[in-house]
Amino acid sequence: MSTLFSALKVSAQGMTAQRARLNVTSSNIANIQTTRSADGGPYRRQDPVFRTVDMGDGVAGVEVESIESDQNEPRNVYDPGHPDANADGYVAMPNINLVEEMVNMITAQRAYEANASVVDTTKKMARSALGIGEG
Amino acid sequence: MVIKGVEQAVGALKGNLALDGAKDAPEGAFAERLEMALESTNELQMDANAAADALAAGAPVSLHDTMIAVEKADISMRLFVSVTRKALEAYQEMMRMQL
Repeated sequence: MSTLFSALKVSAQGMTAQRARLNVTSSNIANIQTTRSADGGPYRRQDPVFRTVDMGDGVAGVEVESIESDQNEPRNVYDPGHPDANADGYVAMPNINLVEEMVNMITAQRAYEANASVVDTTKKMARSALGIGEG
Repeated sequence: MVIKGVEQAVGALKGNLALDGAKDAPEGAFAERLEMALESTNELQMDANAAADALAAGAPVSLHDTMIAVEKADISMRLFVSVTRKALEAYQEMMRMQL
């Protein structure tokens, strides 16, 4: 029974991880044109970093270790009228690529669904095992 | 033709069923296990209730964790019910036996 429930637990952790990723992606998309952040400069793209968790019996869970800033430099866009433009008329914009974010979003969604399918299969296996005792 | 007494026959039956051997098992082992199973089932039910309450109250618990807690409680309840039913069936079968 514990093995069955540990499969459920791992799937739940996977779903939590993918939800964290979706949250980060939504922040990135929402801040695609944010030029002011707490540590000065434009918003920096965030990326979740996952880490495996050993749960014994060869079962490996997952957890979000940290949410890190993207290493790429901000994009410089020529827009002299912008309040945050520098002397040359360039504005430092967040280093976010919308297409990349959409791909990340769909990947997170599909991975979440895959974990939900694993939960469903685990449940069905348990039910069919219990079916042995019926009738 | 040798006619055996009923008691003798019952004695043989007893030997076949190894009822004496059953005495070697620790007393109340099944009852204890059943009680443990009941306790853990109850615990999972309480976890599921707590998760559902927290979700309804707007606490930061995720939807899937709540659903999985409910599912765990459901599976363990089904297991407990089917083990109990089996044990009862066996008992009734014994009671119906005509010696």
